[in-house]
Amino acid sequence: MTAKEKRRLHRLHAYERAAWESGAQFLCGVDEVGRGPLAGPVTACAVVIAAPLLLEGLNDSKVVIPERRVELEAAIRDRAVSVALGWASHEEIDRLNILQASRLAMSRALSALSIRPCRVLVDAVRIPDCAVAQDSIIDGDAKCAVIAAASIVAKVARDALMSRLDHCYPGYGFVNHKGYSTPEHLDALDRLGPCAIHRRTFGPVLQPPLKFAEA
Amino acid sequence: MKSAARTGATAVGSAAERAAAEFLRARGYHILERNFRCRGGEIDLIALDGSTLVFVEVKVRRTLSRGAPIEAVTAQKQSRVRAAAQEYLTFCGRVFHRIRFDVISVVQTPRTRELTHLKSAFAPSA
Repeated sequence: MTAKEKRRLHRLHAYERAAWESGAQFLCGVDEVGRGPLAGPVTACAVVIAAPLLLEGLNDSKVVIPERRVELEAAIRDRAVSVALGWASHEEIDRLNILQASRLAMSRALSALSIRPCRVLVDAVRIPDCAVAQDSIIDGDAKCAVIAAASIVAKVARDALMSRLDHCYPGYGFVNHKGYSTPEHLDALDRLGPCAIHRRTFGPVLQPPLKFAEA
Repeated sequence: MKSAARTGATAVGSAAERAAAEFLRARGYHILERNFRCRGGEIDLIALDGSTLVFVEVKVRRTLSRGAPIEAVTAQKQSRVRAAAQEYLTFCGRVFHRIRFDVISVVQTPRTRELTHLKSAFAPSA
């Protein structure tokens, strides 16, 4: 690991160091992925650490390439004191709205942990029914190592699920876009209509883009 | 020829480190870091035993002809582990009230592997 990377990782642990200095031992990062897609669940992950994650390339899941994400996920699971996932289904997303559903997924991830953390660091939102002190950090997945770690584990888990769901609902290309709104996905929605795991309250699912006849 | 022997030694070493990590995990330790390297030295495993931070040197031998693995942890090696521990603690910025330096010795033959855990094998300061 280069000295530059070490310094970056040191900066990425600023929130963690502050929490440890204030006496906390087990810190929990929580993040969610899959708010944007038109199909599938929203996935949250809670990662509990007791020491910094000295992992080269650790960063927000959105900026880490998929191959590296899988390696990082294994390394995070290896070093974490506890890791748990929480899900909220496409039905819950339609019933509650996406923000409430992602908070529900986060709260489920937290309650599935095998250990009670001293402090929770979460990206942007407040988690309901959380008995532990929580710090909501805007842009936390890019600024805070343990939240970035949670985002990576959640991303890998959700991508794996969506790739498996591609076999159950073929034709939409879930294995490629994981439910996100891509030209391939919108085109399939146009041709096939929504399938069982599409989020009915999301615009493009029920209102395919208007097509104009070519003059 | 020599490099092939060296590669074999590295493979045995990392297999021993993995075995040592599993050994500690089975006893309720949390593995925090593997192969922590810095300019001053390196540490094979860093683990948490309750609230005690433990720096673990894993020493492997394929034969006892040159003495027990623990004997290979020389004063020089110890000071390299201490230096790396210091660097790790600085990076952590977290206070650990108790710190320990353990050695896990692994005697590895083609068919068997015997692990011995020596707690507080050496002192935090020379």
